[in-house]
Amino acid sequence: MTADARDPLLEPLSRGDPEAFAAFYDRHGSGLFAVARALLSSRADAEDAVQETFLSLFRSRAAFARAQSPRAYAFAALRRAAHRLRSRRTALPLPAEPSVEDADLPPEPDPALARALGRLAVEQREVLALKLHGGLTFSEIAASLGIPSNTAASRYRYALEHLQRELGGPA
Amino acid sequence: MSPEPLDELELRLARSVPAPTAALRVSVVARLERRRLEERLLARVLEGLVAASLLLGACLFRAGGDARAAFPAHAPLDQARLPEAPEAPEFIGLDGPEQLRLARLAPLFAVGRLAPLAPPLASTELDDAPTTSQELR
Repeated sequence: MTADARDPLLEPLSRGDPEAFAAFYDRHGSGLFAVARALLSSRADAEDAVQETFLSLFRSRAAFARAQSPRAYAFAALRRAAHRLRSRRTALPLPAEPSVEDADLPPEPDPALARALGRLAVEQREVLALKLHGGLTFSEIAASLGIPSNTAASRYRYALEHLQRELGGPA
Repeated sequence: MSPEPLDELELRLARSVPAPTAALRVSVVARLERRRLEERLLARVLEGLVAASLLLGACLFRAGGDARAAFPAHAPLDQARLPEAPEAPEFIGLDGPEQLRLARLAPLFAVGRLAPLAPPLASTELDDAPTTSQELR
């Protein structure tokens, strides 16, 4: 049993209490959005994915509250929502420059890093985002993605090395 | 240019978290609230439908009971008031009311009950009648 499973938030979550979902958003919303941003090509899509994720969690709230790790469950739901969005639109790489729809939104904190991330394979990018932005352990990442923990760890290492080359070496 | 150490790169990545807008939280909470209201409304509609179905069922059951009381399904027919069922071939294929009407008339046509309107011709009269045109002349 994880720390999440003993969380007093789980009971109101299982009842579908919107306040409990708001509290869950306050805990994990930023991480979910960051992961969505890493997986999708625009902020708007990332926000849609987060909204879809919370609706999905609300619909399956009983299973969500019973999950061994509700946090990992939420990130898995986010990943599915992001894949659905990507399949609805054509798969696009992360834009090098902000699109028109993003112009009035806060800029990416590190544009060079964002561009380098955009050139990573999606599988590596999502492991990196789940680890660094979602704060998931490798076993939670493995559970979210349905892959072995060792695979999650090696994808993470390859992603870092790839970024290191992209950012450190001459262009 | 030397590559950035991995731990520093991890820190840089961790610090580069794009922040969601405040509107996203508002939107998420509003959509969940709306979804919850929709679920409640749907539940009340379903409850209403179930209650209406039960009420309709009860009404039909009661109406069926009243009908059974008024028209007992196994009440014996008052055979004494009905004429004997006709078996003559001419009655076959007729509907109930016509069959009944004809059955009531049937005794009148029975032999010996209805006298002929004209007496039968006597055979002698027939023998005496002229049979050829010559005889007629």
